[in-house]
Amino acid sequence: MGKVNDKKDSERLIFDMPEKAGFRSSAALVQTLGSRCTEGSRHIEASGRFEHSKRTDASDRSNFSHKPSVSASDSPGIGQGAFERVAMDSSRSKSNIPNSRTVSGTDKKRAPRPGSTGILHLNPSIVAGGVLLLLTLAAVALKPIIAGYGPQDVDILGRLAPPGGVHALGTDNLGRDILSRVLYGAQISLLIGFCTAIVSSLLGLVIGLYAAMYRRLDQILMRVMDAIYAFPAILLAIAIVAALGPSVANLIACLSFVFIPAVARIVRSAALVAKEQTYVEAAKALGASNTRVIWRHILPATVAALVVQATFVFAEAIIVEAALSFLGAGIPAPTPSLGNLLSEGKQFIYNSWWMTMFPGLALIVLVLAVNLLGDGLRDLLDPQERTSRTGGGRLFSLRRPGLRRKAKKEAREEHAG
Amino acid sequence: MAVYMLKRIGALIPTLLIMSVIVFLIVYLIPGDPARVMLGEGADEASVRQLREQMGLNAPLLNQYADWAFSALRGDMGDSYVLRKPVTEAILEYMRPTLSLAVVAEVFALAIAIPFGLHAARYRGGWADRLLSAYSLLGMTIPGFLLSLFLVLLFSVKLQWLPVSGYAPLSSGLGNFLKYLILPAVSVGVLMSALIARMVRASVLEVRNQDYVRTARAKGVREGRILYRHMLRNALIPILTVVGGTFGTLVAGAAIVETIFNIPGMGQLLVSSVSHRDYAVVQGVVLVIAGMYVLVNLSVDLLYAVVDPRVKLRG
Repeated sequence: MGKVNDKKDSERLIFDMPEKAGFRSSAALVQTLGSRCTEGSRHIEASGRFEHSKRTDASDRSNFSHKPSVSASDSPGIGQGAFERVAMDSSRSKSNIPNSRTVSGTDKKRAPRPGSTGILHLNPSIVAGGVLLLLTLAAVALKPIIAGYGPQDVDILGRLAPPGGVHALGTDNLGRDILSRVLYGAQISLLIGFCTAIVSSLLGLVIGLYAAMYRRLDQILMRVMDAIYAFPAILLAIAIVAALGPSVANLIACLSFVFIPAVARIVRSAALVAKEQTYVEAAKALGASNTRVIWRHILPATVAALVVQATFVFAEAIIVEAALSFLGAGIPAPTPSLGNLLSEGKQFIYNSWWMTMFPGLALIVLVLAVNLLGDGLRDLLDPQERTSRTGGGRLFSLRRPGLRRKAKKEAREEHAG
Repeated sequence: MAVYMLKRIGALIPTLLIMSVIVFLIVYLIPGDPARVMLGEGADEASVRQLREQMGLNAPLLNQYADWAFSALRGDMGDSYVLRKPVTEAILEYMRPTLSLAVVAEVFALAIAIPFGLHAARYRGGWADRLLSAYSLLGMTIPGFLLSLFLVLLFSVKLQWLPVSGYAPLSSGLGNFLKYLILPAVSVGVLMSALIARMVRASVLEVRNQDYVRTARAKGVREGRILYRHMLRNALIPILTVVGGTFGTLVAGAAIVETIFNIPGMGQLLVSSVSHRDYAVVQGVVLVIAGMYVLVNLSVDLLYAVVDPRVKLRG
């Protein structure tokens, strides 16, 4: 993580580039490159590299929301599911239309504080999300000890037992232990979410990189991505699983398919920005093949955006899987998945609230953990996004306690003035 | 304007084409013989052969697609063998409750999101702003179907204020209509309102230092009026974009949530078709919702010019 972040650092960019491009000793070349890069990095600092990438993405997304010639902001075009979050947030950041008036307010770009990515200043979202996720993983790993019952063990005499007795979270209509079933369900959710995030990230990465590199291919691939993207994720997933037949492997395959465009678009827009950088130009000038340029020079520039997007796919996949199972189109019935538990709970919602409440809470905790982690990673990996969060986006502001006061003061002043 | 429209519609064609191919190919994902799967294990050879013939499975793939796509264009998406009627007819019948739900949810979302977003932007960093970030995180974390279960637990089971499930058409009176629709609409609308509120906040923050805002202030216009009449107006385009862009998600969300409230809409149709392996209906529902989404996006693009006269729609 730290490494990726380092790469973003403009200084590193300057000194690292010649080596990356393959000249080791040509001092003259280093100097020319160096000066060009300094300019480049100033530009990056001034206008925001990621904003740029989002912007490219927004204007490139021509198919559905062709931007009118005068548009008020860099609003995202179409968006749904996981991608939305990134898109929304990009639009929250200040637009980089040069406008001297806006510089005076709280929107002023704030350079990342040196060392701000150190462990001590670690983003609170990451800490909260990470701790939650670790706790869940621990609970899932220790489920036989915690629950004390198997997920299919039937307690005939203790059917629909309320929580608090022998069964900590009560039992269902067949006398099965809810706690144990929730933990097994969480395990399946995590498994499916994780595998989906990995598979769709890998495929989306390849598609995004090659689309950014080859114009012709871009046309075809992105039209296909747009088409997949136009389907609401849940509906397409239901239709595909209905055809394939429900099983864990099929669910992962189908969810990965559904989420590929979300990743591919993000990777492509990051890659398009990277492609224009001087170091890529230099690599090409030295005769590097396209394959080498893609995998050695462009790929590293897309990793940050990819990782952030993967966490959102992770969260979204957990939600969609639960919805599918809930509708009876996901994991087949006797296996405890959170969606199945909720669907069983719904039948007894009048008498046994615990059958709905606990699987639901488990689902919220899982998704919240992953979302918090993703939010934090975005802050950490896309330093420019941070600037937009002076007051708004932050749930906790442990990191810079003075900041909120400052923002408040400025808001007051502005209000008064 | 006309040129722009034509170009926009022209750009849609490849996407629509690919979308239809995806929907068409869903049937081919069925492992084995689709006809046999649809009829179940115990089906006899003759009826399987007949269904294959009826579904056109014996023709070459490209012919099959062309046939299917052209009849879909004419509004004929085959017959549902469970409901024993044309798919189009079934979808039209089930569409109204879903759309009512989606519209009520959108209205709810806008009613919450606009004041919320404006307030958050006005007092940036204040309690409303922080509440908004918590709210949007919550909206993204709790899926609609789960929220609706929790709402049912609270309002229908515990407090017994609202009915657990059911649907009353608008013709039975607005009060009755809303009584059944309010819980599902809130469940679907929360995520939307979170997205829209964030968009409102961002767009207002973007225009708040403009000259015309200062001029309005200098004239002594009340702050509330500045917010609603001057800033919000200019924030409308991004808001429209979000509304259009999330429409597909909204309808899909409505389709899922209505299965919980027993609302006879497209979601119920879809779920029952999945369990009956009635693939023609599954294809139809998915295609119709995706198509609606594309059309809504197109109309949103064209609406830009209405909302903001400065926008010139050039090709």
